[in-house]
Parts: sequence; C-alpha cells; structure tokens
Amino acid sequence: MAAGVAAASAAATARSSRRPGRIAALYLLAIVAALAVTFAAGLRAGLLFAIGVGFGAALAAVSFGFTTGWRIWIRERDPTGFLAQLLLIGLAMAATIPLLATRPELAGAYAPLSVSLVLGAFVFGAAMQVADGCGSGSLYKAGMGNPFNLAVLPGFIAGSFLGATHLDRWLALGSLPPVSLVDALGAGGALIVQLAALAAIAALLWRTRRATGVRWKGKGIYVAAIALAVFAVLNLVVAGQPWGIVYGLGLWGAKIATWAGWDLTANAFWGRPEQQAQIAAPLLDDPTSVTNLGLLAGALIAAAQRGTFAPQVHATATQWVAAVVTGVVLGYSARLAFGCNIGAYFAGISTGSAHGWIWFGAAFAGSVVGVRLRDKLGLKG
Amino acid sequence: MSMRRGAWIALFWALLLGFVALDYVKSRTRHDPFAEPPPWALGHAASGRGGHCSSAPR
Repeated sequence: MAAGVAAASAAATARSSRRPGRIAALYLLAIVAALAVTFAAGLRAGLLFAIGVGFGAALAAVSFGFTTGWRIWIRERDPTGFLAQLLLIGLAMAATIPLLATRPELAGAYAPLSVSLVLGAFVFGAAMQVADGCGSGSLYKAGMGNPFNLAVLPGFIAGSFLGATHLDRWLALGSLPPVSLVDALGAGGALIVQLAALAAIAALLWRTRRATGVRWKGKGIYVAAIALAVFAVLNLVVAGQPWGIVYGLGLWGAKIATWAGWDLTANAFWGRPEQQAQIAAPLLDDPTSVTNLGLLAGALIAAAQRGTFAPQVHATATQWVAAVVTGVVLGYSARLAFGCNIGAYFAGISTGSAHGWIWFGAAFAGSVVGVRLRDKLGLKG
Repeated sequence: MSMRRGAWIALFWALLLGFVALDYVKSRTRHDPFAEPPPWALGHAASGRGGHCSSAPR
C-alpha cells in the first residue's frame, strides 16, 4: 500500500499544476486562522498555532519520518532518516537543556520510569510501523489528506483518551520517580553525556550503512531537522513546556466523553484539577491542542505546494480495519509510555529525561517486530 | 484527486473545525483579553494550567 502511496505521490507531483491562486488562498487561510486563534484564546495561543504550522510544513515538505526513518534503516540499513532524527534531537537539546537549567518557569518532559513505559513504548513502536505513522507522522499525513491516516486519527484520539484514563492501573504494575539528567548531572554533564550517546549511535548507524538515498535524497531532510529543532525550542519558550502531540488528542477524547455524559471527576488522571480545568476550557487554551491544529494546517499547505496532497491509496478491507484498530493501539500505548515519538522520544531526550531513552530502546525493539508484522499484513514498501 | 477522496478530506476538515467551534461554544470558561497570560512563558511565571504527554496521574 505504501508503495502505491509513493507512486501516487510522484504522479501527483508530476500532475500538479501548482495552482498559485489556491496556494495563496491556503496561506491566507492559515494567517486568518492564526488571527482567529489569537482573538479567541490570546496571543500565546496564536503564536503556538503559527509554530504548529511550521512543524507541519517542515514535516510534510520532506516527508520527515520517525517511523520510516527507523524502518528504512531496519530493512535497508539506510541511516539517512534516522540520522536526521538524531540531528533534530541534538540541536534542540543544545538550546533546551541550558534553558531548563536556568529558567524555572520552563518545564521539561519528565515522566516516571515505569513498567507501562516499557510496554507502551514497545507496542507503540510496533503499531507505528503497521500504521506507517507515529504521533507526528499520523497527524501530518492526515493533514496531507492521506486517507489511511485519516482513518487512523479517530482511533488515535479514542486510544489516547482511554490510555490516560487507565494509566493509574498500569502504573500500579511498578514505577520509579522521573529522572532528570539535568538535575542529576547538571546542564553541562547532561549535555555532554547525551550528545556523546547520540554521536555514538550516529557513528554506529554510519559504520553499518549499506545504502544511502533509498528514500531521502539531498539535504532537504537535514534542513527540515534544523527547522523542526528551531520550532521545538520556540515551542518551549512560548508554551513553557516541550512539544507534544498525544496529550492534546487525549484531551479531545476527554471532551467528547464528557459531552456524552461520562463523569471523569473521579478519574485518577482526568480528575486532576489541571485536567478538569482544561476539559472545561476551550481546547484552544491547551498548547498541545493548538500546535496539533497548526500542524495539520501546515501539512496541508506544504502538500498543496508540493503537489502531494491527497495521495491515492489502494488498501484492502483488512488493511482499512487494521488502520482503525492500529490508531486505537497507537493512542493507548502512547499514553502508557508517557508520549509518542515527539512527547517522549524527542521531548524526553532533548529535555534530559531518562524516560526518553527508555522509550527509544523499547520502541525501536517494537519497530523491529512491527516491520515484520507489516510485511505479514501485506503492507510492504 | 477523485471526488470520493475529496469528499472524505472535506468531511475530515468539516468535522475538525466543527469540533473546535462546538468546543468553544460549550466551554464553561471564556477568554478574557485583559487577563490573558503573557505572549510567551520565558521570563514570566508558569501559568500552571497545562498538561503534557509526560503528565502522570495523581
């Protein structure tokens, strides 16, 4: 199916007449949307929407893939996508850790080291290969009008909500407190240790490479990694917390559940005063929700500009069912793991949280399984 | 782009924007432009209202 998507994307690019009027209208709509968000929720929300547009545009412009980056390395030993991820994390970390060490008003992505983290990250790593999209991937591909990811997203929202709802029971399996490497080693120590670890992984990937340019050719993906790092630091500076995706989707689910009459006031997660306040307030007040909306809009604009909007997808009924089910699994497991590839892997490591590294190891192991599962389901390419 | 795919995408955006609008209408709190937080968190007190993927239950 993915091969079909790629072929269709190429055809779409060839067919594209790059209608400048429509693209200008999309840019205008994005500006109007940012102004509307500012009017409805304040300048901070408007800025976060604009940052989200930047995330979506950078991701969609080069098809920046966390999922694909790992899969292509697992299958082809092409490290390009994987190396771009490490560059993104390293660059963001170089600005984020000194900020966190000196500015108490900013918060990192520190989460407990729990059994649920390992289980959730492993399952998420496998599921993201089946769905061909992680947290950011599912969102930006939905923005690009990929029907497969449009099918994944509702399940992702439901799964994120339910995962957070049940999180206390999963934490009862065993949990240690969050570990901030910035607190444990100091800003300099955390930076040196983590940058050395990223460099060691990059060197290993480069030494064991068998092919390059299988998927990403040229420097575009590295330029996108730099742009994403800049937007991620801006996100921290404006929101006061790191970039995340899954929490926002779960909040959308919590709002829908509340409208349907589900009383969440006694729930261990959604019953917390902060979460009850967010359920009662407009979702535009939630930084993660606002950047998610901006991300969808940015991906739409980038896809329209590149002529890759709405790729044609050929999938069997089983594969469509798999998309919906996998969406639920992705959302649920991401909440057990305290984030997806963005909230845990990227934000965790770049803010010096030990849980980010555990997520990385468990999700990568899950991805190795997921790539095989993907082949068995006939989702090759 | 086929009509069917276009219809699905239009439905997705209509549902999303409808959800945001409905949420805004149903919300029990309203944005007060004279009491909104500073444009960015850096250099200001934390607003303390947020949630993140790394948030754990009480």
